[in-house]
Amino acid sequence: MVKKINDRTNSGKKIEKITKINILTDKDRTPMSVTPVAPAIHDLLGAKLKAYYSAIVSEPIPDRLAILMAELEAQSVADPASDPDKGGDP
Amino acid sequence: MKHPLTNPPPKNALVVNPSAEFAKQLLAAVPGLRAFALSLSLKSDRADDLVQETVMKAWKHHTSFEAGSNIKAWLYTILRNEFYSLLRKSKREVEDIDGIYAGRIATDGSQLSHLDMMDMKVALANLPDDQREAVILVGASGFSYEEAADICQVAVGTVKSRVSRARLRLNEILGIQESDALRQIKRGNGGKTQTAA
Repeated sequence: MVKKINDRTNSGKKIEKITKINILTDKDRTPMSVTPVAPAIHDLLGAKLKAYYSAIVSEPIPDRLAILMAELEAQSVADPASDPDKGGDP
Repeated sequence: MKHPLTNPPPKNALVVNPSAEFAKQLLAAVPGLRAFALSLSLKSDRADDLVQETVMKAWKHHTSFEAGSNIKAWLYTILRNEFYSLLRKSKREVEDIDGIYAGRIATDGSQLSHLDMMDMKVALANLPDDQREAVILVGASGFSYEEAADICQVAVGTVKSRVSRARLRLNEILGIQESDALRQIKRGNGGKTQTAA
């Protein structure tokens, strides 16, 4: 079943099918039989994953989160240790 | 790592807002939390809900964070717990690829072309949840196996095997050939796929 995944495709339809196959075979996974990928593939895959992730990390923060962050920042209190005189002021 | 939010402040305690330092660290973690949320939920509006919920919880329970410990791991654990408790509540729905985070990935500043980004997104979406979160934590967001094991509340060996299995599976889906990988690495070409002329 899993072999079907070797047919690389950008077609959404086909991938949808694979998703369902994936869910069906989820319990069939054998725990201890993992052969690691070749080192070159490991490195390239790692680079691709990191690039993928960092592209998302560097996306602009959506407005509602940005607003929340600004509100929280305004509510935080200055570190009392750095200015003991003002520490207790409301 | 101590489980987050296990020791809420006593009810009669004075409510103290978090320090500016805590706020700074929390807010600095938001972009990473968003990326992690997106890799768990695969839907951008739900991912933003998750991040919002996580930030609010962390804020409310800031006293249960031990200053000086790993705030990123603490926050990722909160987000992950939140995700799975919502998932348990709303029963698992089969993810619909069309609805997944459609077309919102920024390509500037990234090493990957838009097509590569889409391929990776689809490939990740095809991993079982446990493998996806493991490979994202270890392979993409830079946590150690031990930190990832803490965040997922499983044994280190379990994380290792999930990550290996995820790599195998991703490679199957992406169809990377060893010869291509060697060539791209030799060119110092990181994740970028050569565009065929």
